[in-house]
Amino acid sequence: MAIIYIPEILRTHTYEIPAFETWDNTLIAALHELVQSFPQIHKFLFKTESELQEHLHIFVNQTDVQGLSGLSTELRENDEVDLVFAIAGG
Amino acid sequence: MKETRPVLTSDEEQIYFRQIQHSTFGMEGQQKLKGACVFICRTGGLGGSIAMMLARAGIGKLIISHGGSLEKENLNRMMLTFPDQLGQERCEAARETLLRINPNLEVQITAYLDLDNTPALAKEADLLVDASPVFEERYLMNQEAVKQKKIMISAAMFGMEGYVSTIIPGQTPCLKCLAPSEPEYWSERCFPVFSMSSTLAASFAAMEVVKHLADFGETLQNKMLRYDLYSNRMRYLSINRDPTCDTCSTLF
Ligand SMILES: [Zn+2]
Repeated sequence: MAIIYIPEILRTHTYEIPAFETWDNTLIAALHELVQSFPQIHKFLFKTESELQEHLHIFVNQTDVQGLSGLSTELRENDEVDLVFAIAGG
Repeated sequence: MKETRPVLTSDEEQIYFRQIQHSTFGMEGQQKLKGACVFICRTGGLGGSIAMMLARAGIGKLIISHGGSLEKENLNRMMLTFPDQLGQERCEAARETLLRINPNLEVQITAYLDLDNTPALAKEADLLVDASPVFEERYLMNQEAVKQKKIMISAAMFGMEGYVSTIIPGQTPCLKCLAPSEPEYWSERCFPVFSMSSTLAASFAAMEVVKHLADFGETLQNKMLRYDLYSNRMRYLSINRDPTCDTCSTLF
């Protein structure tokens, strides 16, 4: 099981749930499952069904998935997924 | 960066004794701080706290920018401000407090940044700090950092979360590599703030400034330090540049 950590900026759309457990074995499948559970976050995550918004970087075990296999990156037991949105709070 | 290493007065040697005691920083580090100028965009919960810590640590000069007047809703987080300053220009209020903390500090103030004033202010500084709640200002700072090849510490927060990263033009991603355009979901007043969160980002950012100026310690280049105080989770993320970035791709 992998865990997707949900950033605060999305939590009003996830009933304040800060983490989401998934048994999916690819990042794209896990994200689609997440969106199915919380449909309002779709527009924050995806530009199209297979393309992420440019304001979002996703990290698996602290590495940007752009340097791994992108949305096809495999998820394994205990993997940690961080969704990092562009923010500018000062 | 300037090679100036002004001598400390005996008062300063006493004030900064506990920093100078840090063996990898030492007297040389303290002298480098005294000879340095840092330009901080905004003096809010984040930038103001960075300015406060740098003033207390003995930086020689700060350039700070922040427009508008102090409002009640600023007081929960703007550590340089006090209720008796309500209505005062924010920048002036910040300068007043900074000079109380460190009367030897040189403070240059300006209101909001734009295309006209940013280049000269950046030129004056050894290092830039990006702490604005407005993407437009962050991009202005980023553009000057890249153009003038100056190190910029970028910090941002949202509620109980935040991040800090160091931008070294030509060596690391720039801000535009990470956020190519202002997100639709963002507006200057859209984010909640706990001062405990903004000051945490500020502590990492101010330490990063000191490490770069005094040339010691491990720094956050090609890394993003990200925290979430809701879950007390801290991550050290590896970040990559965007080879198509409209601001920094020509440097590579
Ligand atoms: Zn760039």
